[in-house]
Amino acid sequence: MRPGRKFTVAPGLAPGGPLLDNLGAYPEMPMKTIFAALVACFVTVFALPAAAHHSLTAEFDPNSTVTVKGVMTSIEWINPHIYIYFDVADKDGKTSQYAVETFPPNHMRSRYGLTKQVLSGDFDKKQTLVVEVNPAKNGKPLGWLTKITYPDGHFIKLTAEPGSPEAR
Amino acid sequence: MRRLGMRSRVTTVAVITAGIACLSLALVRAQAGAQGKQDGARAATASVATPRLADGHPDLNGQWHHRIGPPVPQLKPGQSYDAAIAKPIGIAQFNPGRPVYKPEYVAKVKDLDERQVQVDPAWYCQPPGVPRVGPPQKIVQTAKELVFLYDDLNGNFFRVVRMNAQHRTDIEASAHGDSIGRWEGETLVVDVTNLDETTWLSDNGLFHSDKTHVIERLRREGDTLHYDVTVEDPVVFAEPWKQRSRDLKLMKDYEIEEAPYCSERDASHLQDLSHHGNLR
Repeated sequence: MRPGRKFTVAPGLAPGGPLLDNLGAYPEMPMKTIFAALVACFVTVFALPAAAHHSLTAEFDPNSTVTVKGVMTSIEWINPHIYIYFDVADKDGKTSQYAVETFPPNHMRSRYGLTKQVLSGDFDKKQTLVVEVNPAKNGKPLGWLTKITYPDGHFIKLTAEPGSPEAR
Repeated sequence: MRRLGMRSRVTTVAVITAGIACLSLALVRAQAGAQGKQDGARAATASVATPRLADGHPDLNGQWHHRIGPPVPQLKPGQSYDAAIAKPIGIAQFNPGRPVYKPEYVAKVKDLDERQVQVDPAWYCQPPGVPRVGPPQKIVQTAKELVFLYDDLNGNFFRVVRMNAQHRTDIEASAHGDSIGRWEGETLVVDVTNLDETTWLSDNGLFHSDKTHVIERLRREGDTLHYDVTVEDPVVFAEPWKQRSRDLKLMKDYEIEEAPYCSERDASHLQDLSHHGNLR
């Protein structure tokens, strides 16, 4: 629906009106049709125009989620995407770097109210965080952030997957 | 009249409730989405008077934004956040529409569009240029000139709009060109030339020539700034391109900030050409 257009409610459909009795007068209207109309309505209302800075689905696998446990070593608060780096230990205790990518800084602030400080958590304590990502398709130690959980249990969950409306 | 069974009634009530909820949401969205004006349909007239400078012209000073709704509260340390629940809609995306190219350039646009992830200059931290940089995010106005400021993903950009001046001929072409302004009644008309051809006009392969001419129209109405853009390109366009109109809101609770530097690091990881567009 275009903004600015007059929006009218049909007589008889106004909340508080004789809704149920009126409906009984239209027994032929199949419920399927009503449901289809409802689905169409919700799709229309919630469909967002496509927009993204980068090609997230060309880089990350939206159908896969990988959990990484590591110590946050730094955050690069840069455009077009923020990078968060973790030291991740393998089963032999050898650490390697894993890079986690997320939204641009002004997007983080104005859309989510998230700052570098909030994302850092208790950075100085060098605690192990649990990070869920959509992994890079090329197998590199790189992923797109979907959720980060801190040792005290609080978490920041940004999006389900690259390519979803929230990832744009 | 057939009487509905209890179960049918419950279902019916649920359906009607959902329908009303959806229609209500549509209405709320329509009211909130004043940014997405199309075809000249405009929001309701201003409820506050348009302030003016001493010279009598409308005062365009301020921070203008296409954000929907109030500012998003800053998250506190230790506070959980779930985007799926919060459903952030703080930034309105804008689709300017598409120009009509001359037939001989249609294939080139299609090719660039398909290879956008590899070739779109804005995806590689290059200046977006006019008109892709969008409406000014902050305006500083004097009687002689206006300064447009931008906090873009690709950096901080500025434009100086010299009032009642002639276009310069002593400077090189650039991404944001040379801007001169004049008042046509209540409307500030900004004329932009000297644009180089390194930028795209928008998403989806919309390249242009070095003969591009952009006309911006800014009209303040209360705390709303109406922003219209027409792009002429006699080399590649079949006709002038009038972008969809935008309405910006005066932001009194937000200040433009320095953009963190732009460093492109995704290109080496791309595995295919898929993308979701970059409408701006």
